[in-house]
Amino acid sequence: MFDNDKMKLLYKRMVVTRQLEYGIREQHKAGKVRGPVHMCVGQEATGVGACACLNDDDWVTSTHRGHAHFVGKGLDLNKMVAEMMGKSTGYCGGKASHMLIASREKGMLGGCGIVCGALGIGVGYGLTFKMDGSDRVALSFLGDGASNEGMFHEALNMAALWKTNNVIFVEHNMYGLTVRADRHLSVENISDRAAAYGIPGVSIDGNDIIAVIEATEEAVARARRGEGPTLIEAKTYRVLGFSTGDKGGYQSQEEIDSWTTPEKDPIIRFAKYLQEKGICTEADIEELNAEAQNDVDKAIQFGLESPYPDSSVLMEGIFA
Amino acid sequence: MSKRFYKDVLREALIEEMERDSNVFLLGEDIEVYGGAFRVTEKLNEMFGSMRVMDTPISEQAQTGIAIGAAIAGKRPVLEMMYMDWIGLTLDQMVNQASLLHYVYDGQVKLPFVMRTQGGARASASAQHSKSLEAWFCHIPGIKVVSPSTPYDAKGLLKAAIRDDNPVLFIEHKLLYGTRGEVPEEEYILPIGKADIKREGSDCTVIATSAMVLEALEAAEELEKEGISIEVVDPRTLVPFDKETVKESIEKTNHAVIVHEAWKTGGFGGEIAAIIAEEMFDSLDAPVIRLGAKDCPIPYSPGLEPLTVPNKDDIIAAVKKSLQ
Amino acid sequence: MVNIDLMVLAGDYVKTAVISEWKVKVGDSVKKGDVLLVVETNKITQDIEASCDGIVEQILFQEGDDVEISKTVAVIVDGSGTAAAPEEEKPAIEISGSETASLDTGVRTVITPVAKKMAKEKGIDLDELTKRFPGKRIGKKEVLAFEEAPAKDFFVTGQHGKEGGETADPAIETAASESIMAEAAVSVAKTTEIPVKGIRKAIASAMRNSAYSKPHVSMMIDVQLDEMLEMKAFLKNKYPEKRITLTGLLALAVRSALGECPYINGTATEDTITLSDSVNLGIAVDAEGGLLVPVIKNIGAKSGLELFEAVNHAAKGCREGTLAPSDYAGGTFTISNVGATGVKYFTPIINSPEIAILGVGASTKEAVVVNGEVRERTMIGLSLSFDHAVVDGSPAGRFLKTLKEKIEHPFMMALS
Repeated sequence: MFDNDKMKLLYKRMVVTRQLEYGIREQHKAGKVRGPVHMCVGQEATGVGACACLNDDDWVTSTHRGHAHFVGKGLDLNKMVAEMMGKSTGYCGGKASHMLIASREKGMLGGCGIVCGALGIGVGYGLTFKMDGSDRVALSFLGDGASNEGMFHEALNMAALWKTNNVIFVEHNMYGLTVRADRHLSVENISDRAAAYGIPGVSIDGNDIIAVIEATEEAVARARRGEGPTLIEAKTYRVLGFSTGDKGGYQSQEEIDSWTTPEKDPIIRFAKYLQEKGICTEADIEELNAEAQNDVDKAIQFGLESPYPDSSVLMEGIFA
Repeated sequence: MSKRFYKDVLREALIEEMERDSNVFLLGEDIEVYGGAFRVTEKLNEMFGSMRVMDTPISEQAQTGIAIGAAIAGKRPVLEMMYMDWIGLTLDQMVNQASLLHYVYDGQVKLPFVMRTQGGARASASAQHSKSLEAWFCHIPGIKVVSPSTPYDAKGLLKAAIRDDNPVLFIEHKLLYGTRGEVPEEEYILPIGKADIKREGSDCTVIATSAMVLEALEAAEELEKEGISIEVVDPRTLVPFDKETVKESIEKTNHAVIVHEAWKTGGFGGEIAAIIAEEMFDSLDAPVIRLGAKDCPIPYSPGLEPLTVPNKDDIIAAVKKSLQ
Repeated sequence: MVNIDLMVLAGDYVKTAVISEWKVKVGDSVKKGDVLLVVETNKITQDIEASCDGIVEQILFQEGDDVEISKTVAVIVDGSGTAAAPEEEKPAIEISGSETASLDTGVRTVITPVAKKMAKEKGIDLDELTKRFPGKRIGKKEVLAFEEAPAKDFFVTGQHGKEGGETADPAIETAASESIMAEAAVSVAKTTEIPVKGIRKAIASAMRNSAYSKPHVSMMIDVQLDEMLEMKAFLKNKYPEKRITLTGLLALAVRSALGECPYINGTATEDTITLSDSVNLGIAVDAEGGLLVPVIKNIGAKSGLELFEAVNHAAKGCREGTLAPSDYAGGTFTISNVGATGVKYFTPIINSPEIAILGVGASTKEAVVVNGEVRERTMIGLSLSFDHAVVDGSPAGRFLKTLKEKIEHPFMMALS
């Protein structure tokens, strides 16, 4: 496990993630963030916890619902929000949107709007690290829906075959767009699919950041040793629906409520853990909450005040 | 200089680039142990080992993703896509990742990877193994598309493609592998994005790609006997397209015939014709004529297949029609 | 606003007319039907009327100008300010129009992009270019040909490749004729210069055009007129109120002979011979302004008396100038009677584009051998000029022989 400072940082990151989502939702309603935004409220533990086990030069491929991954990998909040608003000060100069945020410096390479679209790329990273004889690791996030894509099976087979330096982290949030898992998955545990490729697969409670850290550390260590990929399936839940454009109605209020109890909510659980372990007092928690809110507010302000990119950049950078 | 086979000089290019830069590696189906379906990677595994010449499972989508990831991570992969007909399986990775990550990530990543493929009919390979699909990729900004017609062009351009920091679709032709041409002994590179005048002429410009260049040159010989002189322009690169060379030629001849093996409808010839009409209209003495495969799936029978693809007689007829 | 043009003259091969007199000037107020100007063609003199009430806003050509009949010569604006009703539909005549011919009568010449560019660079007028190659697509080749030889050489057709179907070019005025006139004038003490214009010019052009484009061969034959003169006397007695002329009677015989020799009845250009089963007979008339040829349409449909009447009407109307332009068009054969001069035989010039013309000379009493004995007979000379490009000598002679038989034995006409 990590030292106290880091644990506090992780807690703050989880709160930042949640406050970011709600803040962005407000900005979206105000027309400052345009296009569909895919928010990860309820899934803070997976992104923040898994990324905590990585160094800056370990690379992550993300999904369309990657804000917890970005925050967890230590990306600058200002540049994240600016990118979500399409401003020139964003990570990608405003060209990317919230789905395609990337930071080479922090090893987030990167956001991806195609379901399972980046897994092959992640395996390409893991293969390269192996070819170079390094112990760098590539961790790829994907969802339960993605585990049905052809790419999932092709990439897992090759990663397993070549024992590439990869961790495949599935955030099973129970829905592939509007279709619930029991209506799209042929198995109950996606981790069972690991056996099909001869690699270890493990299912964990994705709302328990400690469980996430433990499983990820083990998988990362395995990959660093050159023993190949591990499939982690973290069971979690997305509270706010698919995207800002989601009409809703397919996630029952009952179901949503069952996942947002203090026993299930990842932030509340971690706060409890930190206090039980004597890492934080209640006041510390309050302070961290306030700091997180403040950081988010400042980032939103930064985004609002930043300019749009100049039209002259439109045709630049198509080819290297 | 010596006369060498198209497929052999491709191998030479791979060897030279792999020796020059240890980041260059090859992956694809049947390329390692077997040496490639068209023998291009023959014995390369013995020279470079299995970490640099890798047989892959039959998983085109992931092959492409992995090549993209490796390229971002600092390698220069050359992926062999055995038949262009299967390139559909790679489309998502090419169109939604390879073509745009450099732009969308605002230059934070480069994707120096080459996808080598081959297409073409008249080999009785049937409908799913005979297509020319370059038009799909010409349409996507961010991908360079190269199509060499001679061994000389193939070697020089493959080296250039491998050294290019962008995704390059390198299109060979199953009937060109066995053709021979003069290739220098010493090392040379050709520029991507520059056309080549394969034969100078004065009466009509014939813009031809890949295997159709050979048909055009044969047509030129026959037309010469009738006193008609055609200029055969081989674009060599489709994207980025060399408009200047084409413009100079049309200003000289005032007539244009475009010929490619891909289907006429929606083929890249339409793009070239439109460029000519938009930017070289005042030089035209006759409408632009396009030749392409007949708009039908490619049938197997030796009695039917040859009818689908343009040949030298079609080119001759088109040139004469243009000059009427 | 109404554009006044000369399309009322439209008929076979009438392309231009000369403005001989303006009756109005800019600013004049006119009523519908007022004569605006007078024009002349090689066939007639014509008044051009205003087709609406209004004010003359523009006069676009001067007296003496030779104008294409499709061109606007004057513009009348409707005094009331509302748009005047447009003229009735202009006939779609194929003129060697300009490249911007959308205003014209419907035929657009195609000029390729590079040709347009080259013409502009070389200062070649597009109208000239399209006139030179009527009905053809103008490409680079045509521009280069024009550059090499801008003046169309009338004598050498086909030198610069195939040209349009017209052989007639009525507006040509060669320098040669002027110099001959000048020479003749120098040898006499007092010279008078008469510019060749108006109807004289039109006739001159027509004559030259016909003479130079059709290879003329003339065949002469002597015909005994006695029986026809008896017929004439009989008819005059029977129909004292009708005017029965020799020309009318000859027209009957010509009709009958043409019926048996249809290859002589029609028109011909360099490319096409157009034969007709309708005989449209032109009668050459020596009118005040010059030689005119009114045409009697479809004489085959008329009875003999109707034909005589038509011949008289044509000659009279022509002399009095009351015929319409269409009365001078569409001829397939012409009779030209110069008998009043005493001339026996001559080589008439074909009324182009017809295939042949029958010249009729003076009739004289002569001594003729009949059945071994010398008898007095009234003889008349017939001179047939025909287009040898189109008809050979034997068939032409055959027609003359047939015609002679019809005249010498009029009852033979009853058989056909």
